[in-house]
Amino acid sequence: MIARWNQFWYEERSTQSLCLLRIFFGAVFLMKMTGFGNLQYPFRWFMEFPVHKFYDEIDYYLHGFHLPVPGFEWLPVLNLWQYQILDYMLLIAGVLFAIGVLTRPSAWVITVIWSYQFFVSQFSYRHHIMLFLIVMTIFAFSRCDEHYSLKAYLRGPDSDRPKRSILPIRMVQVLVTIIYFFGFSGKLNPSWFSGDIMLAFYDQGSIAGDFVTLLDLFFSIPLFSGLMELFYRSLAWFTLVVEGGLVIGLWLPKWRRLSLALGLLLHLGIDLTMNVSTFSFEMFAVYLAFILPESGQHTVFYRGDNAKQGTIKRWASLFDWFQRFTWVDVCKEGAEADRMPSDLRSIQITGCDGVVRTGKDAFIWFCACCPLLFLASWPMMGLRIIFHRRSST
Amino acid sequence: MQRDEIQTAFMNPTSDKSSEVSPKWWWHIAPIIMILVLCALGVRSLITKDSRYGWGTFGRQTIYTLKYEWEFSDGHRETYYPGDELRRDAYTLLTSIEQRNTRYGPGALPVWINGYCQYMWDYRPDGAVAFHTTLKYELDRSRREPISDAAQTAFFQYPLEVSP
Repeated sequence: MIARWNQFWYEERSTQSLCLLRIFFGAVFLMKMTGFGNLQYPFRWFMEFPVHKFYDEIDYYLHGFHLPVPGFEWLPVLNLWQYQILDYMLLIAGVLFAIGVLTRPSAWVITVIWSYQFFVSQFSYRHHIMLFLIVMTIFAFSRCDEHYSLKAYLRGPDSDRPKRSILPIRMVQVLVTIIYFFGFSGKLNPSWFSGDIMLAFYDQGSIAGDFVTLLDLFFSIPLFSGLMELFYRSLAWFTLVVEGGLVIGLWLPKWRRLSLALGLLLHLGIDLTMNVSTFSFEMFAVYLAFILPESGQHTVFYRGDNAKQGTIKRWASLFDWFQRFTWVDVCKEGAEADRMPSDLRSIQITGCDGVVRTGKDAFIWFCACCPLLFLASWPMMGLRIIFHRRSST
Repeated sequence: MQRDEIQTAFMNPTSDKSSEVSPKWWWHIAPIIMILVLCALGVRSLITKDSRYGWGTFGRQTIYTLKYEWEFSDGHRETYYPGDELRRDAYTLLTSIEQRNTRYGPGALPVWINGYCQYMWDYRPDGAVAFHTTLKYELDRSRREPISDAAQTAFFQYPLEVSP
């Protein structure tokens, strides 16, 4: 029992997953600090460096009734100017944290400042702020800059990085489970069972946004108008099933991919229709804690002398910007002939699960292995295309 | 890394097939404290129906109205409308001008209201002996109609005992 406990919490692993989590969480933090909001009103996005929570004294509630969290009444109340300085500090620390320079001090700065803002007033409470606070605290104590960071890049090859305790990743995994467990438990009431709650959200304007406007247009068509109530009730049932299922599903290897996909769908839906700030993006990021394979563990065999396979390799590499796939050209790798597939008519992927896949299966595997990275690689893809064109000329 | 090791690492993160680990005893404190604190906050939110700090947002949608009154030593009461002591989020949640809603559950309201009553007591007008708040609320319903007579009502007062 004790051995299993130790194994679960303290097994030594590469910190690559943790470092990936740092990058994505850092990116979401920068979204928060620049006002790059959620998908509810995507055409109203604007960025500020930094975005301030308070712009004037009229709004600044620390000078009025602000209700500190019990036990934190001793916290000093800053004036508006001092509070805005904290926003600048958070932005700078967020940039350093995301790129991986002075990472742990930056995480500490963020943790301390957000703790202040969190505890100085109960009106600062938001789920996404609490999630930031907990995960940043975990980062502040962990070696999250040993890979995928500017510091690691300047230091040289990744090969000499020691393995570390998996504790930070496990803590994030347990945190996600607890979030879903209590989120699900809080919804076990008649309004959710009947689906009435979604209609109430809709009526009260809690469900709104550009996507909802499109839905309204769709349901204004006489043929579909009768489906509106059923649609919103179904959303409630879907939420209940997915949140309950994620508590267990994320821990079961066979169900993990389906769970992650459903979780992504759930949070995408929430983000499109409700004002939850960056909470959905934070949940997307923390899902990385459940994607354990390290870089280069999937091996792709291809023939470099085959034009089609060479093209596929080049395109796939554009998406694989964390280099999770090791590409082996069977025409060049003669020294390892015993590892090579004998008759390679199409690209072959040997996944980290040890299964060999070809053709459509290989493509699906490629997409499914790292769906988050796949999505996130779109902005990078533009840069890589330019780079490739230059290098090819 | 061998294929079976890779498979173990990916498919079964709780496997005990790899090398044995025995950390110092203080390393066990971090996960235990985290689990205890987060679970305690979660259970608290379920019991008090206040989903703040407990991840239960959107469990209930509460529609409510508030009415504030000062009680004076001669027994008469005067309705009070909050001024600029309520700003931004505090104003949004505690204004008495219009019907409000919150996603944090009905249990969060008494916390805010009691806090506000205590705060207002420090700024009481001459002759005031108590600050009263009347809360009417309903759960999970449309706000297109005004709160019905069947709504639940709660009364708050500070100080709890009015001195003669």
